[in-house]
Amino acid sequence: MTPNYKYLTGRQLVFLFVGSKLFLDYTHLPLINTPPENQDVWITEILSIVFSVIFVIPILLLITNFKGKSFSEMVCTILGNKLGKAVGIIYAVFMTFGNFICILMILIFMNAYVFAETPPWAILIFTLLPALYSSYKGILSIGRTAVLFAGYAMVTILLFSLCGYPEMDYRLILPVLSDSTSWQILSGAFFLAARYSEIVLFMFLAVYFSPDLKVVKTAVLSIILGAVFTLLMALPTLTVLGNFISQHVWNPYYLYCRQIHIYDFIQRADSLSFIAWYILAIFKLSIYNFIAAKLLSDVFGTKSHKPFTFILITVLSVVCLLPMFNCSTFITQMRSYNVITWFVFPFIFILPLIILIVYLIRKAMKKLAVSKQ
Amino acid sequence: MIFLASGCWNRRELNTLGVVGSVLYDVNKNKQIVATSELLCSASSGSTSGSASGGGKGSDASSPKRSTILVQGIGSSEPEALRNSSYSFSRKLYYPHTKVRFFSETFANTQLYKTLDFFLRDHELRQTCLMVVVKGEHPERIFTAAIDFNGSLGDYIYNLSQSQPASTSGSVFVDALEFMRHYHEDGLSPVAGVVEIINNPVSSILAGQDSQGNTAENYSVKYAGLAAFNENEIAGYLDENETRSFNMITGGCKSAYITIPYTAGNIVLEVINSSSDIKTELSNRHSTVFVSVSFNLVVTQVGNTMDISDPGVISQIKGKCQAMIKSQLETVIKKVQNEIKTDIFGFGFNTHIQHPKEFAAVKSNWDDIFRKADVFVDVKASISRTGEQERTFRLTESH
Repeated sequence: MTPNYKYLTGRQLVFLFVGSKLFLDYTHLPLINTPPENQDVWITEILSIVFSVIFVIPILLLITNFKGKSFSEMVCTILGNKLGKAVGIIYAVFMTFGNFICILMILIFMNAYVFAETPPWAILIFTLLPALYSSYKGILSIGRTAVLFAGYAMVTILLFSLCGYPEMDYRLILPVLSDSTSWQILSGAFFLAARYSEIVLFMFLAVYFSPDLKVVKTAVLSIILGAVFTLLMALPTLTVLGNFISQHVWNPYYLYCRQIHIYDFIQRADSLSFIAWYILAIFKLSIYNFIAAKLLSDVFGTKSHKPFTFILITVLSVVCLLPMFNCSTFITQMRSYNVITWFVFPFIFILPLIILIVYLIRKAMKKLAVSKQ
Repeated sequence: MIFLASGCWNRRELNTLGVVGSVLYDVNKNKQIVATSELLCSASSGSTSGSASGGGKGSDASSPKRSTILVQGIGSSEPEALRNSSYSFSRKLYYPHTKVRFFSETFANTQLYKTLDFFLRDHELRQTCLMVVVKGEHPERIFTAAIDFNGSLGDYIYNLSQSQPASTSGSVFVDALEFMRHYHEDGLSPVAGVVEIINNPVSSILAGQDSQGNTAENYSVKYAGLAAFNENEIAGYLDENETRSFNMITGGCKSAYITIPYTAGNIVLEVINSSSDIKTELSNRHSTVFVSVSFNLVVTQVGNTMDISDPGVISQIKGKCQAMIKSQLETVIKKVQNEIKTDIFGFGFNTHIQHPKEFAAVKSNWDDIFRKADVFVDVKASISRTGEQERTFRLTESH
């Protein structure tokens, strides 16, 4: 069978989505510091699946109505040329902002946990160069590597969940639902679903979907699989570190991985987890950088997205090294659920919903005009 | 390849490192922190024993079996004390392989709770190392104590943690993560292992040198019992027998011998498969705790003429064993309630799980409730095996 190099397959899309989401979980496991901020947080992850499915509905409706069209073509058709291009630029800035936050988290994690003496610019060079190359080659190349990279990360998560079993104390996630109110659980699920920007991938990558791809099924499967793997990270972390320590360290999952040792022959296995994290970091940066570059390319009508990948990465490199941004306190503020959610939520739900409403109104008006004639 | 190259900036060559096997934290008379690090000697170090000091005195760790040297640093804080070791040591101290953190009693009472943040914050410090309190004065003598076949004191304590629980349950091995977790857990106070420096019982036998020319160290390390902590200091100690009872209550008893006294000769039973169940009740700020301990026993020695092939005799031994263990457990619980006055058993932790709403109202003064709690102990023992002998060795003497 000839390999498919023209489209993204459903499997590639699932791995793209899950790999990108897991990068954040690997870096700081946002779930732990989301309401109710106690032993019940894992329940909010399960409930967040419902919110994620609700949030993806406008996007799914849009892409099923504009099959085979790029995002820019879609918004220009619905909102008109000028407004459509403006939306394209706004989303390009949003994706670049996502990369900006990711790079800052990479720098802080690297310096705090692994390479304390390596200067940030060196970390940036070694991280952004492969990300640049990957985004330069395009999403189809990234998609083909997704199965390998995200797959490796998923295997390490499974492995660490199993290896950590002797250290786990399930009493640490008890009592269930007694210390939290329903409102806390619901709001936690909302904040959790609203802070991950991965669902917009469906909107931007729709033009690359293979014709036989079942979009709704793939989206729901991606959301569920992402949540399952987040749970596979969160539950061992909570049952080994406990709630208090998990909340207080920068990267609870990595601390959990450091605790893993089986007898005397599996020691320092955290390096496997670190490699998975680093691969996912490059992977996520590549996807976001490609999408931002593609959006700008469509807006400015250039033949290729490639020049923009260079420009965006260069700009990010400079901005991320500015002392006002490259500090722990800034990123701690930014990544907290009550800040980042309000940056992300309008782009993953409100804006697509507005576009959908405009589309439906125009469609209804068109129908009305036709029926009047 | 790019990924691997990025690590070169932070590379650490073995011949530039002083790999720390264990650290002793103490406080001197000027209230400064004294950190004594036991460094493992690699083959390239060209040295097998010795001492160095940074801003303080060094102590000799000379022993024919040891492959360590000691360095000491003094400073106004723990990180500073550790770094000040470099005043008289040519390599960079490297902590990720530290197996044990020792604390003098003074340090444990005044500084330990302030240091937990540093242990969790520093990227080189690991949370897998054991937390051990050194009982008595001159804790630095621990580095001169006999460590049997081990090359370092850190290895010695670590190997004890692997072997001792399978032999006796008279001690606890608590790592830094567990200690910190219990420190912040509602209704549960942390405990740490305890070492005591005692006169080496074999030093007088060897009297200087044995047939291989080895010199016996004057001191030996006795790792037994536990140190119970309330919020910021040591609340009290349990000895090895009391710690065995503690382990039975908390479900940490893996193996132990129980000697049942009889005038004609004792009967010894070995505990296997021990488990515990804690049920709690909380009403009107009064707690009632039901501790149910069950274990399986194997007859190890019958020193008298009782016929253990008789089910009635087995039942009698079992009853006596249950009563004896029950009494021991109750004594320890009373001691902890009245003398140590902090909940190291986790009765509050279990109350939180079983009665979360009621516990929320009392968790801030749980230790007061714990002291006044009624604790009922139930011991269920079963003797399933009688060893390799079918009949009692001295059985014929009874006829």
